[in-house]
Amino acid sequence: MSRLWGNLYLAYRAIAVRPIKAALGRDGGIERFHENYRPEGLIPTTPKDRAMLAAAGRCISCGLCDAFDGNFSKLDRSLYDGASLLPRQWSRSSVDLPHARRALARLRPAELRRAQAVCPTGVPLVELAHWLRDRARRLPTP
Amino acid sequence: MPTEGGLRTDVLVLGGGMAGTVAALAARRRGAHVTLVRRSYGATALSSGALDVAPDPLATPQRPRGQELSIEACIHHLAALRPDHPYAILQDELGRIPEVLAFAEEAIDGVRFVSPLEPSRGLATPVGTLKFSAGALDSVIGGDLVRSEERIGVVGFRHHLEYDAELWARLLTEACAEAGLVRTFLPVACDFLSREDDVLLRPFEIAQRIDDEPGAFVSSLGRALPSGVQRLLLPPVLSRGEPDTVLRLIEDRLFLPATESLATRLSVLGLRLQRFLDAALEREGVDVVEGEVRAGADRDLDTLALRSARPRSPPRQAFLPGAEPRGEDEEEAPIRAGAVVLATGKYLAGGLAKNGCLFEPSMRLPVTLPGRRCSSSYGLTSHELVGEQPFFAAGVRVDSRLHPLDEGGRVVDERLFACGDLLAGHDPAGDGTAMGVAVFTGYLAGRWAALAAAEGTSFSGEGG
Repeated sequence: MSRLWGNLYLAYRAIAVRPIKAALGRDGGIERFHENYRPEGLIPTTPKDRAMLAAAGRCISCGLCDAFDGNFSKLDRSLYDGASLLPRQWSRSSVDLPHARRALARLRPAELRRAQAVCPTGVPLVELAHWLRDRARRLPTP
Repeated sequence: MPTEGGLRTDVLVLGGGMAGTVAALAARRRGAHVTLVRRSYGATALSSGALDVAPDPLATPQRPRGQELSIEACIHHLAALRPDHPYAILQDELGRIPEVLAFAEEAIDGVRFVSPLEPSRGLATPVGTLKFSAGALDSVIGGDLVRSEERIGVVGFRHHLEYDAELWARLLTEACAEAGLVRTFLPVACDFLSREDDVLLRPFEIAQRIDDEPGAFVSSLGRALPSGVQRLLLPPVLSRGEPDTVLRLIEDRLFLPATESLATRLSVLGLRLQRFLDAALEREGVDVVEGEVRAGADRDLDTLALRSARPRSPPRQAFLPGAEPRGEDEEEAPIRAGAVVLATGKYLAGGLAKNGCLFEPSMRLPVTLPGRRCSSSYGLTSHELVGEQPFFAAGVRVDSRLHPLDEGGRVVDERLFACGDLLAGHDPAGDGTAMGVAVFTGYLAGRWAALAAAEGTSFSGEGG
C-alpha cells in the first residue's frame, strides 16, 4: 500500500508540480545542487575531465619524472614537490586544487616536457598541467 | 637509420631496457647495423641495482640462503621445475650462460656478475633485508654480507627521515640472524644533511648534493665514524653519475672500503644503470630513436611503421588489437628491417596492453598466461589473484629460437624475435630471474637476429 502511495506521489510531482514550477521559472534544482557543492571544491566532471583523469590514472608513482623535472629545484618545496604531484594528488582531489594554483602558475612547460619524456607509462604531464590550471580556475578561491 | 623515406636497418630492436640493449649490442658485435627504438624509460630505470639471474630453489623466507647452490645449478633447477619459463624453452642454450654474463660485463660499464659456478651474493637493501643476487652494479656487488665477516659501519643521515643508521643497523642484524649469519653492524649517523628542509630530500637530490660536495660528505662520515669499523655500507645515493670518485675518496681519507646497498623506490641505481646502457649503445654505434613502432593488421614485418615520439594523449580508449586510432597529425615513417627483436617489456613499458583482453601492441601477437591462452583479462577473478600471479607471467610465447608463435603455435616470422620481460612464463617481479632472462634472451635474440638479417638482404646498405 505504501508503495502505491509513493508511486502516486512521484507521479504527482512529475506531472503536476514540476511543469508548473518550470512554467513559473522556479525550477533550479541542478543549480542549487552545484551551488551547495561548489564551495567544497566539488564541481561537475566533464568528458574532457574524465579523459584527463584516465590519463593521470596511468601514473604508477615511480618518481622518475621528479628526477628529471627542473621545476622541482626552482620552486619552494612547500609549494611544489615534483611533477608526480600532478597525476598523484592534484588530479585526484579538486578539493585541494585551489591550494595548487600558485604552483601551477609557475610551472614551466619545457621542464615538464623533460619529465614527461621519461615517464614509463606515458602520463601527459604538460597537458595535465594545462587542464589542472583550467580546472583550478573553475573552482572558488578558498 | 631514419631517412626521408623511412627507417632502414639490418636489425631493429624495440625497447631500450636491459634486454633490448643487450640484444642491440649483441647484434652490433655480429656486424649488423642496428637501430633501437624506444618509447621512454621502462622497468630497467626503476631497478634496484640487483641483477638477479636465478633464485636458489630451496630458499624460503625462513631459510633465505637456501642450499647456496651455484647460479648455474639454480638455473638448471628452475628450467626443470618450470617448463614454461624461458630458461626451460632455451634449455639447449643454457651452457652459454657464462659467455652471456661475460659479454654483458664487458659491453656495459658498471655491471658485474659473480661466476656462474658460485652462489648468489647476499646484498643489503635500504629497508634492512637481504636480497640474494648473482650480479649488481659495480658499487654494490662487493657488499656481500654472507662472505664478509667484517664489522660493517652502516651509514645514515641524521637529518633525514628515510636513512636512519640506527634502525638500518638493527634491521640488518636481524635479517642476517634469520639467514643464520652473525654479523656486526655499527650505526654511522653522519651530519652531511643538516639544513632544516633536508629531512624530505629525495634520493636523487641527496645524490646530487654528494656529487656537488663529495669532500664534505666524506668529512661528515669521518666525524661520525665509531671505532672498530672495517667496512662501510652506504645508502644507494652516492652519485647520479659515477660513484667511483666518492668511493675512492672514502678509501683515501678514511682507509675503508665502501659499497652501496641496493635501492628501493626512486632508485638512483636504476637511473645509473639506464645511463650505463645508453652509454654502451652510443659507444657501440647503435642508432637510438625515440618513438613507437606498430605493424599492420597482418603482422607483416614489411608493414612496420615508426610513429613520432609523442606522449600518448588521452583518451587512451581505443587501443584495440585491430582498431587502433591513428591521429591525423601523427607522423609515420615506414621501416625496412632485416630482422626485428621485440624487447618491449611487460605492462610497465607498454610491451603488453589490456583492453578487454591482453595483447601485444607492436605486432598484435597473441598473449598467453602460463598454461593457457588469454582471451579475456576479466577471466582473472580474485581466486586467481592470490598466491602466484598468473597475470605477471603473461607474455608472448616463443619457440627455442625465440621466434614468437601465433595462435596456432606457428612461428609468426623467421625474422622476428622476442626477449626479456615480454616472454610468457616469466614473472620479472616474482621469479627472481628478471635481469638474467633479460641478458640471456637479449643476447641470443640479438645474435640470431643479426644472423637472420645477414641471410636476407642488408637493408642498411652497410652489409650484413
